[in-house]
Amino acid sequence: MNWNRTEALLKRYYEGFSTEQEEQELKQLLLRPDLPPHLQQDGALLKQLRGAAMVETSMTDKALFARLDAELEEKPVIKSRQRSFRLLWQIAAAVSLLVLGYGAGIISQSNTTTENRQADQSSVEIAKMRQEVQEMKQMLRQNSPSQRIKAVSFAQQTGADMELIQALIQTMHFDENVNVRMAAIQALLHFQNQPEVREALVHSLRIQQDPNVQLQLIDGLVEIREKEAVPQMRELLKNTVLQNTVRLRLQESIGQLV
Amino acid sequence: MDAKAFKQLILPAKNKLYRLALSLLKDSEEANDILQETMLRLWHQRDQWQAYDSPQAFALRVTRNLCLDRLRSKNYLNRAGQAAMPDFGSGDATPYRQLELMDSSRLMKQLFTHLPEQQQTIIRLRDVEEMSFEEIEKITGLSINTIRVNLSRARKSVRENYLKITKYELE
Repeated sequence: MNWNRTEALLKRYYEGFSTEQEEQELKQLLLRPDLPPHLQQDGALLKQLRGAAMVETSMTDKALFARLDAELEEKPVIKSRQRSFRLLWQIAAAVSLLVLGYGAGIISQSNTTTENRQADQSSVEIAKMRQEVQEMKQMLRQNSPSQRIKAVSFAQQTGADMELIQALIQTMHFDENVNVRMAAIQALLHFQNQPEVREALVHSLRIQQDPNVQLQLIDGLVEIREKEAVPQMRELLKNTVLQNTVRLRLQESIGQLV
Repeated sequence: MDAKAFKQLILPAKNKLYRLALSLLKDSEEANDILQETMLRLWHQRDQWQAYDSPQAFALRVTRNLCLDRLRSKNYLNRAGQAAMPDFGSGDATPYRQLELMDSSRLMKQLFTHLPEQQQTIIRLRDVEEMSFEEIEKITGLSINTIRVNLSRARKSVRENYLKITKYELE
């Protein structure tokens, strides 16, 4: 057989010029049992490359969609929680405005105009702060993970605003991006004195599946010496698909906390 | 599109997505994790995805971007533990076949090890997954000319590497 065609196709293949049809033809030619020695290594290499398509994931279809299914199940819960938080905050804001208004009224009756101006200033500051919180919450809902990470790090620099903390907790639990979830953990550790934050960090151990996030949570809980996390850590140890590094860190951390 | 229809549509691409993630992250657990994240991302972007000519190319693009994000993340670079070996299927393969796949996977790793990420992705998409230049263009965002240049460099470099390895093994 004349191998000129194979050699020409091979040349085009290595130059990146060959078309799909030519590559299919080349592969067929290289599979021939009478392939001459000078083409055998190219034949073996192309076969090897194609053979790499045999590698498959061991993950079951159920596991593949586990995170999606969890989100589909949890979404209504999140929404209703968010709604109730929003309602709570609306009530709180209304009450504080009432108190502020009442206070301002008394002040205006009894105090000087300078003090009046101070009260006005503080209500302006409160309004400004509320606006900042709303903007940050908005940023946490953005599409780009890097924007969300930025929002998380801004959030940690502000004071302990409960509405913002709740938004951070939601982000830590459910943000689709591992890095954003990890940044949220880091940010929440700044508010470790808030009981809600400590509780949420423990609770998140039950939610997180990613080993990196699990490790950061465990380290964070040890850092803030949260003994309440021990039962949840023990529970997590029962998980048979837990990564070994996480298992070892859990065992070590339980030892440090008890 | 409901969740059931979405899953049926995406399932045939599962292993292709896995191989791409594995080739970039070199760790089967990380690759599986990226796959779960890809599913979530695709679900959120299902409107865009449906309008795309090749949903498979869109899924591969999302997978690649997520892998590159993860590779760049500081926490990934500092992560504890060693990279796990890739897994070789659901257990249907015989021990002999698994050994064969393991050898083949090791060889592929050696062959691609010195290639820049872009060349590695392109040669994998073309020579392993047998995708068209148009699809590779959509996945990588590169022009067909750039793809051809990178593919040529990658093929030559892999060949050179292959000859070295086989020569070494024969000696």
